[in-house]
Amino acid sequence: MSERRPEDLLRELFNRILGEGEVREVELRDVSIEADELELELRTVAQALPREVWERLVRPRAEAVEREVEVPEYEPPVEEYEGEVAEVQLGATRSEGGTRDRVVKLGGERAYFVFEAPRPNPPVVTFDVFDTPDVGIPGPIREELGDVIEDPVDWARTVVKRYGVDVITLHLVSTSPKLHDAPVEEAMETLEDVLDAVKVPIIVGGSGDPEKDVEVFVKAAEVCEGERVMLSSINEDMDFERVVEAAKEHGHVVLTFAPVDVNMMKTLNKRVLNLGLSKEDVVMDPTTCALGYGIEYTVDVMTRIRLAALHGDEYLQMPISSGSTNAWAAREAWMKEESWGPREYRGPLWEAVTATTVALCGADLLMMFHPWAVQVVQEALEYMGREREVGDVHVTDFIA
Amino acid sequence: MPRADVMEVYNLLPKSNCGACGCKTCMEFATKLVNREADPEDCPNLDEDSLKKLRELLAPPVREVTICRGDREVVVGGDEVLFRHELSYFNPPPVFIAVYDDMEEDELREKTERAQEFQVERVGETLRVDGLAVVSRTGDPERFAAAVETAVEHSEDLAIALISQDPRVLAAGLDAFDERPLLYPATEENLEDLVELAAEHECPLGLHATEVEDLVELSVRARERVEDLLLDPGTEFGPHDVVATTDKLAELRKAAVEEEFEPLGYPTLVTTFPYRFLEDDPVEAARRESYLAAACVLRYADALIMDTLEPWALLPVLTQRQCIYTDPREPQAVDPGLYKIGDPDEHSPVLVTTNFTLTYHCVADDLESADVDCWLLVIDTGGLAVDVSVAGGQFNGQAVKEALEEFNVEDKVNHRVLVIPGKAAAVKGDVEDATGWKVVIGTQDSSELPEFLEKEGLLRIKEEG
Ligand code: B12
Ligand code: SF4
Repeated sequence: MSERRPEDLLRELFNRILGEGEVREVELRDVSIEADELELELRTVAQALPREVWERLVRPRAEAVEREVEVPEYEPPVEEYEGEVAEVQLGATRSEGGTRDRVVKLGGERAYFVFEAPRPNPPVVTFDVFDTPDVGIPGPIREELGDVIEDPVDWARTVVKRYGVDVITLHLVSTSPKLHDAPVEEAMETLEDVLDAVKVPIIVGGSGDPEKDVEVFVKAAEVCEGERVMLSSINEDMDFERVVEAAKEHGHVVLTFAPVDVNMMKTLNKRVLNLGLSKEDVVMDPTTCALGYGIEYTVDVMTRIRLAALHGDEYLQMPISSGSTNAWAAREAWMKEESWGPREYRGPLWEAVTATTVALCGADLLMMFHPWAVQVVQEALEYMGREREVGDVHVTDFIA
Repeated sequence: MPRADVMEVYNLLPKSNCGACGCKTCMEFATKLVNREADPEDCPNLDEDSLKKLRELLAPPVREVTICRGDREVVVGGDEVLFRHELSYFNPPPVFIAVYDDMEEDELREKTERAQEFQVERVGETLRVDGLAVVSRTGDPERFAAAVETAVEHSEDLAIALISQDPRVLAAGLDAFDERPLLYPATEENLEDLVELAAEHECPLGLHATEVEDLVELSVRARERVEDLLLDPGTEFGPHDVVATTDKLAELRKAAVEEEFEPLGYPTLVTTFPYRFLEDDPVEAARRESYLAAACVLRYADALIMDTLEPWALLPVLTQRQCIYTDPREPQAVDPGLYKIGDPDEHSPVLVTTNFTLTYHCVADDLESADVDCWLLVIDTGGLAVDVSVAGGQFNGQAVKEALEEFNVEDKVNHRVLVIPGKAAAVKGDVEDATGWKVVIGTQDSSELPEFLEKEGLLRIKEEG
């Protein structure tokens, strides 16, 4: 179709507006109309034009410019990686020598992005339970959970039942010399009660005291014989060799921790593997800085770790764990501040966004504790294990 | 990795090492260009031809697109790496707030004004929204034009996006505002008309398709006539929203950056505003928007269209943006110095903190909002937080001593008492030995500091020593 001349368009336009037949005499040839002016005219009347007129006047020009173009072949940029992340099992069923009803598997990734390969095991959420309420449990979480936080057994049972969580982390913080300095035996009783009360895999958390934790973990490894718990966590500041030995002897998993540093993470993992654990027995925690409190460092460190694993670095080929509850260290999550809006909404979102951000960067296990955040994140991240889904609701449904 | 090769860039420079660009050598300038720390224009000795070649060579694989003009201008895209640690991300994604042509005029004006005025202070920065997206719900060109007029009239520096599937409606909108607004969505159905409009009005055009292959085709057809495109691979809604949407965005970005697949080398556009219509409960709608948008900010969203103006819902998104778009090559530091908080005098306490931006602002904000008058001594820890620099050794007696001397603190107060952070308790003795000042260990978190100072009687320190 040939390009129409402006005069023709204008005549047609006049015809339309004034009615066919009545403007045949209008002689435009001697009038000089700049194309710009004409377009201006056309535009101002455009909003008054009925659709058919638009179709007749403007559409043809649009079509006239449509040329045959060649669409180049598009291949999704799926990369073949040489390495893969080890798969680590938490928990053991009866047939495996434990008493869990189900187990979870972490890791196993062969690609960075889901479009390259869905994750064999989508990220798992573990719910934080503390053996004493006398730790800094943020107000909104106390409110949400209510009285159950007085009793770790009740707490564990309730969250498994109510929110369908797959793993429980029991933090034995009461053993801290700075808190209650509870004897190891007492902590072990709580641990056994929780093992009895819930049948999901268990992570045994220490108090962060480098000396006491070794005692707690060594004993817990014995008490939990056969259950394949994860001991959370060991670091360079403690006599971790003893913990590794105990894990090896009783068949448990250890969590290695390093503060936001790829090389420190790698060195620690190397030492642990050299002590005789295999990649399938180790999960690593390269530190989660909360949203607004250094999340970008965590994003970089986790990304670099995961890429290194996929490119074949054996000492970084473990699943990644994240203390996403660190989100509550950010004041935006917990502080009363009118200009930020209600903190009941802010805190859970802060936790959910922190957890989801690290999961997208590679985290496989998310330690969390706000029920709303837990549910949203569980539901959303399950899709990392599936082929991409394109839904039937689209933005165009909401635009006239 | 930066895309352009330093030697290739160097070969296009005059090699005279004249220094006019502020670099000692042309080689240094070439390195800066590749790292995007300088512009080719900074060298006055380039001819047109070399300048053009340089610009081409340095053009990022994701095109940089300007929306609107003048005060309303925003720049989107321009990235050249998949992961921020490889260089940095550029141009933080603007947030457009949706207004609708079926709103009453008052309501539309009110939302426009709220968007214009929205601001939250965080770490010394004012976080704002950046634009208004006028969405056609009625399909009526006149109503749309009226809505655009109201939005433009009651905003000052917000970018404008015109949103309708109907070219007539968009044309009417352009009548009301023709300063290069973003036009969206161009789809399979209306592509030719929208391309025509965008070309004629020199507007950036947003393409929408729900499958990446279809988006490729739209892009190939549109780029024949329009240079400035945005790509919306179809934001997903529902429980799979975060994973499916970020995954499509990642696919686009990887194809653009690593495969240099040009039809996808444009900034991306994410729309979360439909949640307003999908969720009955406005709180739930805002939560879903916030959660989805914050994830997309991490994963390659270059512009966002949102509905909510709730600060609690925008805060996570804007904070994520603030964090992810910091330059990983630079420490986030404030200048060391003796800062006045309120109106301190010779009896006011001297509080020590580090020059990490986040630390400084947490402490300064807490003290200011509690109306404390004091001196805040910010020592140089190379931009590290308190516990980090204690662990790394930058926060020590010597560093405090040097700061006391450099900023003449002895002349400002007639007492010799320093309050240090609780997290720096380990260096108390070291600081006392090095400075000879009495050291008080403060609280773990600075939000408890004002109360602590009051309780310990440290707000007015009368005695010497
Ligand atoms: C982000 C981070 C990093 C970043 C640093 C970013 C930066 N610019 O500082 C990086 C990756 C570089 C890093 C490095 C290291 N880190 Co680091 N890091 C963190 C992390 C996750 C957050 C720190 C942060 O941003 N805090 C937020 C700011 C605002 O807090 P703040 O400065 O302390 O300020 C608060 C208080 O101190 C107080 N306050 C501040 N000023 C004042 C003043 C007064 C008078 C008072 C009363 C109060 C007060 O109020 C503020 C607001 O709450 C922490 C863990 C955590 N805390 O969550 C680990 C952590 C601090 N790191 C740790 C370590 C060991 C290190 C390294 C030594 C290890 C390594 N990776 O090599 C290095 C040291 C580097 C060096 N110094 O050379 C350890 C420190 C352990 C310890 N206490 O001994 C921590 C606690 C992690 C851990 N649990 O092991 N780290
Ligand atoms: S101004 Fe140009 S010629 Fe002079 S040193 Fe810089 S790059 Fe080289």
